Amino acid sequence: MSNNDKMLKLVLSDSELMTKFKIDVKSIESVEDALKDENPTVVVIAKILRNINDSKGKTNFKEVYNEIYNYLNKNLI
Amino acid sequence: MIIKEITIQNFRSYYGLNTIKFKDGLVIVIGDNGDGKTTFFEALEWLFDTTKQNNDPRLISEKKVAETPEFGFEILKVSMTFDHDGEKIVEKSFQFSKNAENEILVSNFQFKGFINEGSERTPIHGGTLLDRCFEAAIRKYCLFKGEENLNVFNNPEALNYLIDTFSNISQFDPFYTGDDENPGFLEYAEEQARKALEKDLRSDKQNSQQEAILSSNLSRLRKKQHEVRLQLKTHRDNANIYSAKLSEIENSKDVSDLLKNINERINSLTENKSKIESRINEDYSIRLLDETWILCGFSKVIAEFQNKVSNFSKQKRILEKEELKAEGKKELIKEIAEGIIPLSPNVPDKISMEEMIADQFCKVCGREAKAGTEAYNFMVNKLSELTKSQMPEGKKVTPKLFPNNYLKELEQKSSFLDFEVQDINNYNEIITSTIEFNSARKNDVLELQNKINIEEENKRKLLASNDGLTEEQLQNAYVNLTNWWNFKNSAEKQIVLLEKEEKELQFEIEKSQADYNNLAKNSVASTSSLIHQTIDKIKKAFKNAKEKNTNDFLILLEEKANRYLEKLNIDGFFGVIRIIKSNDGTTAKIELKDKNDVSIYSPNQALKTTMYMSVLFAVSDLTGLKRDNDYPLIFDAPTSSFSPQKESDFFKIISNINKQCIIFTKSFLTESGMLDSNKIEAQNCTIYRIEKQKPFDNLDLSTIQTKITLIKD
Repeated sequence: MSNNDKMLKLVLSDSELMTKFKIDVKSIESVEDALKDENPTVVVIAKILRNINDSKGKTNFKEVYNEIYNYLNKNLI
Repeated sequence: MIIKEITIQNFRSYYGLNTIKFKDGLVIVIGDNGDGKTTFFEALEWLFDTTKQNNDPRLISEKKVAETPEFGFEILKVSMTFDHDGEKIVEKSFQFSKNAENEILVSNFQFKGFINEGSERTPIHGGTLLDRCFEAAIRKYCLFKGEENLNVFNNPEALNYLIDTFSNISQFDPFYTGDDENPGFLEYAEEQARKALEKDLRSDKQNSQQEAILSSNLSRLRKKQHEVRLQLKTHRDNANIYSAKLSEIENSKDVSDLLKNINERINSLTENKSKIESRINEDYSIRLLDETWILCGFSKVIAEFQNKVSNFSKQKRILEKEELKAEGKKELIKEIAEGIIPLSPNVPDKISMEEMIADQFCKVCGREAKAGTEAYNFMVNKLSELTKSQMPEGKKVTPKLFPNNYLKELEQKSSFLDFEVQDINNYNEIITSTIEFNSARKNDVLELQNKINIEEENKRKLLASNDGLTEEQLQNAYVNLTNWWNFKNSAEKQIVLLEKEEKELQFEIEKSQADYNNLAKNSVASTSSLIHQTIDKIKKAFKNAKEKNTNDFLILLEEKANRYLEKLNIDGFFGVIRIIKSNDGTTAKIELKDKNDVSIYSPNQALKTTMYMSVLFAVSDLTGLKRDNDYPLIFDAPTSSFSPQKESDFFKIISNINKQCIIFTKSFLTESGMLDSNKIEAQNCTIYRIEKQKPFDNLDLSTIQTKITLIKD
């Protein structure tokens, strides 16, 4: 299990997040699994974990933010 | 990673080629002060430094330098053979030579590495190989000099590093930092989503008035929260700084106390010494110089002189007496011869005498006295005596036996010198007593100096066991203790108040934000509100995950450290190690508590050392767990404060821990510097002895050479 996979599991196991967004953490083992999930919050977290690259700095932040904003805009309702 | 062999060639006291072979488990290297323990340690530090090319000529063995002929080349080298997924070697070296001016020139610095695979050896840059197998950051947790530097959390970066390196999950910071000044992605994204929401809601004319009020309130609260956070950061930084300083003192408080006491004793001894020295007056020149001065022996000369004068005087008196005796004898003989009592010179009178002489007849005895007869001569003599007796006194000429007064002069001189001798003898007495006094004071000074030397030696030992702090720092630390304590307390009080304020502000912000979101619910901003809430929840989930990961790591570290603490303190009280995270979660500190969570303040140094070493062993365990590879731990004099029994037990326990541990120590040496064979026998590990090769000149560095001997395999 990669560091990102472990981080994903830990983040998804947050009780408030699970309750609020009805997340079933048991079915998700990896970032790859999460990217294919039906729950948009899970997908957004997976996208963040996959795309944030510390070495790219704030430019990378803007790109990833736009990507998740657009994704949520399309999928939240 | 297991170190198999270390070779040191011409590195400072390690003259020539010196090799130590290591096994897994405990290896003890015994050496007295100045025998080369720290030099060995420094040779390793030099080898492990992958950041710079250090070919400082001062690293070269002075003995080798002295032996190197003009234009001759020699090499300094430190190499390590180790096992890390197969055998590997790192080797750092440089060449040195002497020029015509006897200067040392260094050249050809090399840092090589080799990977042994079967019979093949693949070369690689030494630094690259070392960093690959034994990361620089991990090396920080492997080499420990002295007892005071064992607390890994003294380094404020340690917690983050340990979490990133050894915790279950690393690299949270790109996602969430908790630092307003340097936000992670989710802090950035939440702010952007909020701004988008505010923009959307502002464009909704129906709610513009309410939006403006709520927005202004939120803006004010956030601004206030930002200010509070900045103040919090400043106070936390201050609290950390003063905590670290106090922690250093806490570690060195006993040392500071000892140092203070030693310095007070040294000052008092030095003061006494100065007082005594000021009483020593060796200006003998105005008195009588010293025992060699001529006047000190003058009484003997005078005595001899007086003796001679006395002898002369005696002889004179004898001679005079003898003369008197001779005169007396003459008279006596005459009396005996005449058998009669002589008449007075004027009986008979002068005229009668002249008549009797002319008549050649003694009319006194009525007998004839012819000229030339005895009777006639008697009469002539008698007349002569009478004539003499009738002559005036001044005209008498009596020849003297001692016509001059030389002896009298000598006697007068002798008598006069008697007074001088008395003065000289007085001076002698003064000088002798002064010399005796000075000599006694010098002995006192010597005794005090010996005591000062002992105290200075104690001070040196104390400072040597506290490499982290200089004497000045220790003394300043002692003086600053109260100030730092006040600064820390003040900062901590402020932190409590500000944290409460920050929490209240956060609550108000969340409440206002909820109102703001409600306002957005049925407006054009409803989607952006949902997006913002989602991102905000994700941000909080990351924050909680990061905290949980840190807490889990610290609990794991605590568990492992407590297992070692129990092992290392079999028969004594040891308590429970607690690793406590700071409020901002960036640093941690190690505390010892009892089972009821009561803090144990100022545990004794041996307990503190085992506590810090337990954490180090736990960290080392985690490297094995997370990296599938353990690392050696190398300690220089970690057990200075241990009692002999505690130390012996400590080494026995370490030898049973499945971990490569190399300890440099001066234990196992008796006070006379000999190996304590009983203690050595009791150990179940490899033991080496390092010592200075004898003979050596203790004033000449070029005679110093460290010798390595395998004592126990």
